[in-house]
Amino acid sequence: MLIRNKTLNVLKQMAKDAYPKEGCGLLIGEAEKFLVTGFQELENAAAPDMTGRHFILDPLKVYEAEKEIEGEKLDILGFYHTHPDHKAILSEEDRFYMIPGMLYMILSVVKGKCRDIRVYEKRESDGIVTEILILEVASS
Amino acid sequence: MNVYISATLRSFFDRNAKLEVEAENIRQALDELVKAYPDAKKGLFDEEGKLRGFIRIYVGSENRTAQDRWVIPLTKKDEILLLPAIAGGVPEGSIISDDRRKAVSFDDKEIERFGKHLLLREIGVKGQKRIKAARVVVIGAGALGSPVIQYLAAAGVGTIKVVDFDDVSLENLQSQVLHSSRDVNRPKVASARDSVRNINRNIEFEAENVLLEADNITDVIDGYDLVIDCSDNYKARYLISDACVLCGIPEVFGAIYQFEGQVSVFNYNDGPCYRCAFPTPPPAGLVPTCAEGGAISPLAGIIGSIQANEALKLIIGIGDHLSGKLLVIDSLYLRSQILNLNKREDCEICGKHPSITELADLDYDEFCGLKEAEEETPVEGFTPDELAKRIENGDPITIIDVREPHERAIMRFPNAIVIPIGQLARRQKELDPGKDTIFVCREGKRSILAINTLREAGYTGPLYNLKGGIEAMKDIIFSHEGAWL
Repeated sequence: MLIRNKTLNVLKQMAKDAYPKEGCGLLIGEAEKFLVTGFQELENAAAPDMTGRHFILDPLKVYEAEKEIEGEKLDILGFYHTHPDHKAILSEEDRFYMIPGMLYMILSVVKGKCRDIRVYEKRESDGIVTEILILEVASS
Repeated sequence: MNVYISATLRSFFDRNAKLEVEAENIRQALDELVKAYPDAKKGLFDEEGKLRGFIRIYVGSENRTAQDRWVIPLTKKDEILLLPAIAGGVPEGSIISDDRRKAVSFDDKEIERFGKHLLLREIGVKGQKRIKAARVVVIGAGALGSPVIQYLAAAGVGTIKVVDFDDVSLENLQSQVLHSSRDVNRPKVASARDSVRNINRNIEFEAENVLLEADNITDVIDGYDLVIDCSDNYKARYLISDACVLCGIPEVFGAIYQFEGQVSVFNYNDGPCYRCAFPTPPPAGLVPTCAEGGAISPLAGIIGSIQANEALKLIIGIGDHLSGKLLVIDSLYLRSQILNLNKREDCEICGKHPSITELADLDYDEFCGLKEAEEETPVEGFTPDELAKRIENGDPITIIDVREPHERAIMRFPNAIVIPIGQLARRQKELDPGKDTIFVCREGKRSILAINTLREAGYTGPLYNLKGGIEAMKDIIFSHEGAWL
């Protein structure tokens, strides 16, 4: 996956700002180039006492967001969420909700600092979850 | 009618955003979609034909994902929305691996027995399986061990090992609710085994009737998931924590004294250990143990129950826990607070450059001041018989009792002057340097500390220790009552 370094920096800041809650949203860019150029933060709809450990996106909010994104001729490449004080590895819950072919970015935020970012994909061909390499590209 | 396919799900439908189908309800619409796009079947449904967890079906703003809502009639104007369910969470972080959890199964009786756990979303079948797979060592089957062992057994912990070298005594029954009157003089581990069997016969119970030392503790705890420190002395606490660090096992610590209790979780996920929190033990004898200082009966129940609760949360992988924190509870004035504990980079065992790499590196008796002190000026002492003879002879001596008030209430030492250790230096003028002064305490250890304190303060008169303390003295029978007076 390619990502503009400016986008990555803003994402890291978002992860810090959301701490100690889980931040979450959509990764936006150009699907053909496998390039992430931006993201849209969405509200964590988990019960208030669960927002430190869980995130849920309201499907209707995703629906609204994707109409806007398509209006700008951009694509949704996947989703991101943060893991406050935990490693950037998929939890069982994360795996359960994975849509094949979409990218899942996890940002590990430990004590308020973004420590690790990893991206995973469930392959469409066989359903196996693999880690995807992140390549930063200079902002144009 | 139209079916809108979310951008996130379009790969199943040749990237189409809108599809038109002839249908009167959601079920028919889904059937039509699968007919037109056979590949979508695998994407939308699992092997059992259930809709996959990551899909939500809406009509307008109404969630119609549940199957019983698929038959609600729709009109041609309605639009079905196929949307993604995006959710997740931090890894649960249980100390029991998924593989071990998956290897566990339940019979009907167990489903009934643990029903109240299964009802909880945070525990459920997965959590209960982790509990059953867990292998836990409880060190000490005394006051704290009592609630810990019983709750772990009741909660369904699969393997419980209990370590205690002691026998049950009558005075234990005030707080050690694991044991009953008929257990007096039996090994505590035998009594613990009976209690656990009475709760649940399926629990694998392992008894270790040994006194833990540096050369045997590793064999006792290695390979277990969790160690619960229910011991009552500093040597055991350092030994347990150090062994847990070296074996890589997290530890739930608990301690009680009079009306106050402490709980913490050590050596969990690179958190601090007992030695980080308490780098050195207090001088031997300065702080009485729970056995010497006493404790109110239910305090062990409160602290031990919190220990068991922490243990279960670590096993299940839920909630917050006391790693890096020390919970302090004052049961007399009902106050509690949580103090932060930091990992010490210079910790002797879990720091960056540890000086202790094997338990054999350290003499725990010496570290905790339990060895007969080899000091420059050794402390002279009397045996109980020698002291008794001097009292009977009416020799001019001064006896100083350094015990706590409640200890004196149990057994008074007649004609002794009471001076707490903390006041000795200040009150040394009350002593007559021309007379032999004999210090007494319960076991003859705090009295040595008292003598050294006084010497450091510059007192030059003759000082003696009662060897073995009042415990050793109580069997002495005087030839006449007047000897005491």
